[in-house]
Amino acid sequence: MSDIAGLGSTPAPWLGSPGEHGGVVLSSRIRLARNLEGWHFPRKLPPARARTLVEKVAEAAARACPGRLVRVDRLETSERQLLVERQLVSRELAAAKRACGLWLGDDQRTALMIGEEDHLRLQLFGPGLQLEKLLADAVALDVRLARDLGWAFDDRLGYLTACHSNLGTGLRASVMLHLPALAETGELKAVLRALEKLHLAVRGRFGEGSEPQGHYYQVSNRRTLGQDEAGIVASVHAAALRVIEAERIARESMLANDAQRNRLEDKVWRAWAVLTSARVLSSEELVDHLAWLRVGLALGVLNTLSHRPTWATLDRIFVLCQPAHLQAAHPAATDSVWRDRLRAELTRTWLTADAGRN
Amino acid sequence: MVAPRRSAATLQAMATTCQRCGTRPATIHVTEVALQGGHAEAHLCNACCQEAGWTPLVPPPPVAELVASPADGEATTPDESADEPSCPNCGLQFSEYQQVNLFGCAHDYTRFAESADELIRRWHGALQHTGRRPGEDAPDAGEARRAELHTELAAAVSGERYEDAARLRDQLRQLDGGT
Repeated sequence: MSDIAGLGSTPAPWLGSPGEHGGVVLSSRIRLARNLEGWHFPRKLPPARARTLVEKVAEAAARACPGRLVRVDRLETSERQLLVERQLVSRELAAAKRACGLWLGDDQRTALMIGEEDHLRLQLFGPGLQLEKLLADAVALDVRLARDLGWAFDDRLGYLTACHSNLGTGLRASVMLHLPALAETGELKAVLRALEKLHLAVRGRFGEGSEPQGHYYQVSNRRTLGQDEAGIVASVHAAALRVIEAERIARESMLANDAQRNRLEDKVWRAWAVLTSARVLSSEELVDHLAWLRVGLALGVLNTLSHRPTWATLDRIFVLCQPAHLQAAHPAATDSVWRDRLRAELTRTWLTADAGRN
Repeated sequence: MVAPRRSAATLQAMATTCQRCGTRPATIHVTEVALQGGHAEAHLCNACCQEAGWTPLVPPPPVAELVASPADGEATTPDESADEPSCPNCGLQFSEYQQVNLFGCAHDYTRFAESADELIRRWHGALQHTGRRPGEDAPDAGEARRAELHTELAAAVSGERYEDAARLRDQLRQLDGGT
């Protein structure tokens, strides 16, 4: 656990703020895909070359961004899973058998994936809706890295990437949104269809079915070529604002309707009851109930509590009660029965700790 | 609510984004049919479909349907076609790309320009990059420069390079209009 010691017991320092959009936006992310000029893309790299790649990029990263290298291919399965749960690395990087790495910035908002499908995936994260700021920081970091690393670039196709879907800017701008009211009122499908028509990609944060758990959705640009970086970010930002507004209207319409308000309040209070009482909690159950506590907190449903939870507490439970996080912080919790009991205990404890402070 | 159990899966080519990884093109369309009635749909790329453990009932024709081979209109695999042209740099054949959606090197975009351009045009609706070039500043150059100097300053302090830190601090002051 030495490489990533500590991650299992603390959420990212930048989490815990509700942001300016009433808890509808969880976080923003900017990603730039880059490859070294003259090198085969990672899938075709011989093993020795893949090791050199990790060292070369890590050396440049050390000069450009204070942080540390995590050799992902040398981690235990549960440790790799922890990085996936934290969304620092993709499932593909976590599953890679060749030499690969993660350069994790000291601020934990900068994460460079080395040797995934492209040589470098430069990622920056932040709370709330702040794509422009993240883009500026990402480009500044890209400029610093480019002093040591020459990027594969073509006048016509832009930054060259292993998959044609990332060509051009190599930029993916994503916003994580929480849309339970749109889901409840049945308007979500129409909203998601409208986003697809705008060439935006939408996927659930948890699960792959038509109704992801907790109704967390990531909205991002699908096209990366033919529009400049500022234009891409502006279009995702504008679409996110429209979805946020639609969610806000759906929430208000639920509150304005007696039967719907009753249903919403019931869901929030049931979530509160379960999370403060349960002795066994699966990951799925926790995600669902926490989602309703977020709604309750945002809409003031929980205001009658003298000891309502804070956003930071909800985020702390959300992150630290994921399976690999639990296992990292509590090595004895190796099977799901243990983890479900531990998850219930920690959730109760942290929600009650808020009660003690209020 | 009982989660639908997969009793049948149908697969067909789709031209959208993979719902699982959210990045690669979805080339497989999965329909889960519940025994109790109802169904759920998923659009996945090849890699995610395999990772999720879905086995196609029929061989998926991923990118092949988007770009038909000019010879006979059917895709071929590297094993089936020793004569298929390959990249002299990385050895990749285009049919390999059609299966995994990953090129082997930057040269592939030149070697398979015609087929690649068709894929690119369909996905992006464009064939000309209009964004930044390597080394160019951020859209908001002042903000980017400020962020850059702050990070360099942190790295200099962390590495105990105090002369560099002092110089960077002066540059930041200048940028902020100080003296």
